Amino acid sequence: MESVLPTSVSAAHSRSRESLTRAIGVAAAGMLAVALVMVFVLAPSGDVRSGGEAQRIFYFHLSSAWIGFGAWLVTAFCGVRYLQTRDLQWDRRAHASAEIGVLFITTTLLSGMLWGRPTWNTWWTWDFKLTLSALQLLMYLAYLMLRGGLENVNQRARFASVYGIVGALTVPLNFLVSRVLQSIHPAVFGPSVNAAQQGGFGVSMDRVVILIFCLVTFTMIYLFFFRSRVALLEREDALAARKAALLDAE
Amino acid sequence: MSLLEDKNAVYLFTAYGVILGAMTVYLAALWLRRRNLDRDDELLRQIEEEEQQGK
Repeated sequence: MESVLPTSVSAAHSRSRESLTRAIGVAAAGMLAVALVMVFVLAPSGDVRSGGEAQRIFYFHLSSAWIGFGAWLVTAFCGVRYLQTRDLQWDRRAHASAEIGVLFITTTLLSGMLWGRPTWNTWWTWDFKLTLSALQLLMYLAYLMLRGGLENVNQRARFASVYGIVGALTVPLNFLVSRVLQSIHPAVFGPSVNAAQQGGFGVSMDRVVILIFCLVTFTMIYLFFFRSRVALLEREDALAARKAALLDAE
Repeated sequence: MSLLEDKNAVYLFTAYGVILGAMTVYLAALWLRRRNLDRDDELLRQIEEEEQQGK
């Protein structure tokens, strides 16, 4: 009974977690469909100065950035928790978040370039904010390479935690850059002393409502990816332990 | 002017295509990883059972 009970309880717990993840996934897919209708049908067109119809890229560009940069903060938080507790579950969460961060930073950069071409008349410029964003993508990739290069599980978790915490310092820097320095990248929300920005536009209430919906949708997508990836990492570790046990028995 | 007539619409559709495409690729990668883990799990279970029977 002793050996059966924890397994069955764990299996039931695992099933309920999987059901919740699936429910989040279904909700995220539905919200994504609604968000696309809002962006393409309900959102007002931009003026020529902000890219005309290309201005609608803004909704998913900002939402991608929200997740891309937010994922760094989650990785850093999980790193802090790992260093406090030495519980590898926090390391798995940090890993999953960084992987999703790579995805969304990449889409942020690509969608930004696709907006920049008709608005700034260039795909790319070595503006401080843009360069810092590209650097953040490279830092994410380096984080994953660091993890891939270390065999020892605890050493890997420790090094990755420290790297994740240091890397997260670039997130507030990126946020502030287009507000306190001269940058071509517009600061759509909040106060800014940036006079060099190009392609900015007024944020009317209908745009704000659509943007908030897109941000919530992307957060749901992040949650779905995050929970799915953490579950896979748990299984990978459990399988690795079973393989090691089999090899030890031989 | 309708959305499709705007000369910048191609950038709009490409951007959304890239974002949705990237999310689809990641979803497919998760599915593939899960399928591979299921296979590994099954294989390991068979080996473990053979080990048990051998003992």
